[in-house]
Amino acid sequence: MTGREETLRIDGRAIQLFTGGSGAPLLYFHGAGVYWWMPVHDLLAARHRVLIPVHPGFGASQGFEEIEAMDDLVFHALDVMDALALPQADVVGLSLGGWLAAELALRHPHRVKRLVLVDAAGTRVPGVERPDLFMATPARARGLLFADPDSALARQIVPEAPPPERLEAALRGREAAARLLWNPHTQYRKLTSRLGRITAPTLVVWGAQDRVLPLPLGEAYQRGIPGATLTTIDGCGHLPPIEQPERFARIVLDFLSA
Amino acid sequence: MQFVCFHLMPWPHLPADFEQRHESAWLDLPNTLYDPARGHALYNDYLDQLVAAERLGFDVIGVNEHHQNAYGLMPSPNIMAASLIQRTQRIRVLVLGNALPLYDHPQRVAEELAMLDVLSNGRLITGMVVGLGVEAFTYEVNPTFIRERYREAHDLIVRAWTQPGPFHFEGKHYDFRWVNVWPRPIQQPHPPIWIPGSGSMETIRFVAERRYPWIALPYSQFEVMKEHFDLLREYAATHCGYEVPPAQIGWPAMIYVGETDRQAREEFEPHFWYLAKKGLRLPREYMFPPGHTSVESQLRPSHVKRKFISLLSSWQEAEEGTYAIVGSAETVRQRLREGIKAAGCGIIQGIFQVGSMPHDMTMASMERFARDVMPALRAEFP
Repeated sequence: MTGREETLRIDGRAIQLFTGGSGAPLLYFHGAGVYWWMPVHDLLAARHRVLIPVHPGFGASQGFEEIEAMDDLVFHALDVMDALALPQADVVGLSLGGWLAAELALRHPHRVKRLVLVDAAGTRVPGVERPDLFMATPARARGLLFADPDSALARQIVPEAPPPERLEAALRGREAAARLLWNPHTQYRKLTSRLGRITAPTLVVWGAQDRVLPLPLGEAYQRGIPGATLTTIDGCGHLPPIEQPERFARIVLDFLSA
Repeated sequence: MQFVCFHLMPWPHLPADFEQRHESAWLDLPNTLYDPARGHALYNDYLDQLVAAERLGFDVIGVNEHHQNAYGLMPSPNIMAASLIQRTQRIRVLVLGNALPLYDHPQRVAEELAMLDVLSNGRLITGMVVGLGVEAFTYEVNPTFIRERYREAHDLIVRAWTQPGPFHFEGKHYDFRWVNVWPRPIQQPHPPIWIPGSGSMETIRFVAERRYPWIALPYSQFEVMKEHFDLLREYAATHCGYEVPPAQIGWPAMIYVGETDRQAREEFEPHFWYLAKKGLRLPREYMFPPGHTSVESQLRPSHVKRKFISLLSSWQEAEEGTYAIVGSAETVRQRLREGIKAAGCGIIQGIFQVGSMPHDMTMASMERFARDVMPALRAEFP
């Protein structure tokens, strides 16, 4: 099985969507670096209708100019759910997508059935440094992102230079990521202080060796969201769905079937 | 032809093992490597060099703005300009800052530049710069908004100088209900604006549309810079309906005039490498944060072809790319003559003090340039 690619039209702009599987809808909000169908999505699609809308500015999705900050992306996500005729869905968000998922659950609780936050951006804990991926050489980025930075997978996801046919998309994706992630300290502080308002049953999943957003930032999510549980994955860095797809999928599917 | 004596005011005392110990001379280079007592003496030497340029017959002296680095010690070029204005009488003073997008208060820039213009009795030429990519890190400014902020701040400042205040400036990034700059500039309608730039399409369009003089950046091949000048001429001709005059094109050149070609190279080369390998040690990721240079510009062939000075491996390569003009007076004259013709420029922005070059050596080169090079070029290119 593999994802199909479709195009949604939202306010006249093309939004790229990957979708596959059947069952209860699972909305997957991607992170800043990988915005396409991966093996983990096949695993999730064994039990769910998996939907991966590509955020504006990433991949083939238009509308980057409309996104100035996270609240714009939240409104965009509502438009995506409307376009997909989804009054409510289980939402899984990784990194940047995790921040989006948390904001969506906070601001529009009736749209999020259950929430899975995976090495999610969005929390701020005084004294916990967040290394800057925008400053990192590819080699350093692999070291930050992966528990095993020398793996073929790490080199495939973060090559020394993007292949020529992907260069433009990679540059645009970096820009779209920076728009939201450059300096969101104030937004993180506010979100962290508001987590108690989230009502969706929440699972927090974290790579035990995440060096981009260290575990205390995941613990802040777990502490802040009423009833949330935290599961860590050993041998895993910032990207559990990519570095440990089987273990990650099992944890998520167990949570969603409970 | 206008001759500018331009200064970067580098820190010349980085240790010999700097490259082994540090990835960058910018942003995260520990400031314990800066020694304020030596810094005091250095500022005085550097200011003396610029003040001497008036006596030597230059048209303009210039300073620039950079932050958190050993490459250039002028986070506020306005302060240096104020000092120079007090020590000179006739020469014009070029401020190739201020890095507009870094500031949340462009009104402050409008105020300070107007002060300098009044203080100097109308001798100010002002730059308006985007700032280097690395400076988006320094001031935590989102680089994906830098171009928008630049344009808006530029508009605000020019309007603050030209439109009677108070008025309300309503922008996307800046909204000031009380724009009312006291003092106003003495030059009318406002001080001349020169724009330095690396040749991005954004900047080329911006200067072409406003007919601002454009000063290239000095750290890649002459050929790449010339292509950018051609691009400016072509864009102005096809989109703005005018022919760019030489006075609108500035060539920034490191210049060293020695007694003989051989001696000049021997004297100059260590300081060139200090600049290239130490002062400009700057990782690509620091230099190009996302959005600072548009995707369109990054994909252009000239961007790909450009070889940044820090990547050079031999003097021969530096010479072939005309990264610096070095030699006897005759050689320098000849090479500048060829370059002026090829570039079609009417401004030579000479950088005489380079890297770790000491005061006496800098002064000797400037004296030779003023005596044996500049008059001949003035005669040839009035």
